[in-house]
Amino acid sequence: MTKFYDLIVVGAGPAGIMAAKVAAQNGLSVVLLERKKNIPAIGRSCATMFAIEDDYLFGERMFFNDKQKRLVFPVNGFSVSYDGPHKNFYGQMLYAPDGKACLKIGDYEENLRKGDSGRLSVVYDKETLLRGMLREAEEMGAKIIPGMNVNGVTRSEKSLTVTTMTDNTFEGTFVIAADGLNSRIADVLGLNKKRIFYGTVTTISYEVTGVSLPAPYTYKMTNIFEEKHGIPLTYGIVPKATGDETFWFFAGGPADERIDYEEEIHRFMKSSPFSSWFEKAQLRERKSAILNFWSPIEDPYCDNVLVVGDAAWSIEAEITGSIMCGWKAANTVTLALRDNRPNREGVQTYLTWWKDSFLQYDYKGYLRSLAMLYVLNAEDVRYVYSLLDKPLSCTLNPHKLEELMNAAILERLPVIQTERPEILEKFQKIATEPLEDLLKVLQ
Amino acid sequence: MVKIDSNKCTGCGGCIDLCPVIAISMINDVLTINDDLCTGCSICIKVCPMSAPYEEKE
Repeated sequence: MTKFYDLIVVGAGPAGIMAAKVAAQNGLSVVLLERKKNIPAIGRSCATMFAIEDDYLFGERMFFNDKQKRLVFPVNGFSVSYDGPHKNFYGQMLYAPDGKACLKIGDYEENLRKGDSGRLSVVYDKETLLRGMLREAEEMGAKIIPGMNVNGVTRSEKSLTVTTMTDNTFEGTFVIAADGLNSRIADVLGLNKKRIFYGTVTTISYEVTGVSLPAPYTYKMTNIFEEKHGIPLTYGIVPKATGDETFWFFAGGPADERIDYEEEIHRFMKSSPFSSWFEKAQLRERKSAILNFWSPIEDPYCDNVLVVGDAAWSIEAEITGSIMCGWKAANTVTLALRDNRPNREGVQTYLTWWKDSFLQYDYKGYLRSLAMLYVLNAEDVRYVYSLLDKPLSCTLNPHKLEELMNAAILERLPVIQTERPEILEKFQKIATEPLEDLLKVLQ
Repeated sequence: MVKIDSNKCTGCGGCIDLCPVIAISMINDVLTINDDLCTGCSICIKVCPMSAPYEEKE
């Protein structure tokens, strides 16, 4: 007879592992399904970078306790062990395509001098984090099955059946879908039908050593227009937790067949205003990612399936949001089962919490700031960045950063109006045109 | 027929998620296309930043 689980978790990223761990700790019978065999090995770019520590994010004020080696979530009231390496970093720098004009976020020198208390964030090693969480989940009694490509979930009268590409089936009362940004489960349940689709972006990243960077312990970004079609690509470099003088270097942009990202990354290193940083650079480990931008799922529930973390939020819930979702979803399911309410009513606490914590964020504002890339040209960006010569106050919160930039631009509006009225018109376009039109290049 | 060049593939799994007919799966951490399910729509070719999926001429 097939084993019947209280909870089936799909996807062993931070949200899924956390959900499995907490549910098992609460005494539920749990199985965690993941398509990878080697679960902690990360092939995806992006999500492996840093933990935002400087601000409230999704209603939480997460930080890293260096002494006890724990990520602390004081608002929700739990913590997670992380015994891997970390590095501090102290600011963000946005460069214009000319490599000269630069918008500084946070005063690097000042923050560096303050040390731990001046840091904006810690970069951590996601593989170590996942390995530790996975070990704890297993110790708590969660059954972990790697190599399972889940392709669907169906509901019968009293249970849910999760199926895989290799014809395995798992039965249980609840499912937590933590299958990431382009969630298959959200799709098969029809939860994407109510979402607005904005487009697809891709990114590739390399581990890089031997670079010579100004203010190395910052997050640096720029946009360069690729030569053949003039499509703006985003480049970034950020310290990596493991290895001395080691960084993540990435390029991203539309998922457009015409763009050869590897070629562009080499061109950026050899012949761009930034190539002096890369004269002795050595590229190592390579990763990539493809992400669909959707509006968030406002009601991430269907027939006893809760969709959590990035699976319901395509702007990336970051490490903070993912772990929070796993924790909250597992506790909510535990209560639903104990109160004998295996239904929507039983998990209403999660759905309300999701709305209050995540949907408050102005994701459209964030996407509009992305649209700036596709409306302004290289010279516009150079002009605007050179106007904003004072560092913006320090934050890595992508939602707040956008507000700060808007405020700084607003302050300079009279100057822009006199000197460059056409840029003002472009800003107006960014603020008023439908997002779908602004981001058309991504469709 | 669409194949995946395993030397180029990073295993990020983006194409698995975006394939409209769920024809791609990860077997022992290597991405594989099930020819019986694949319709040749080539979405995976379009979206992959590593140009790992390719059309194999018969």
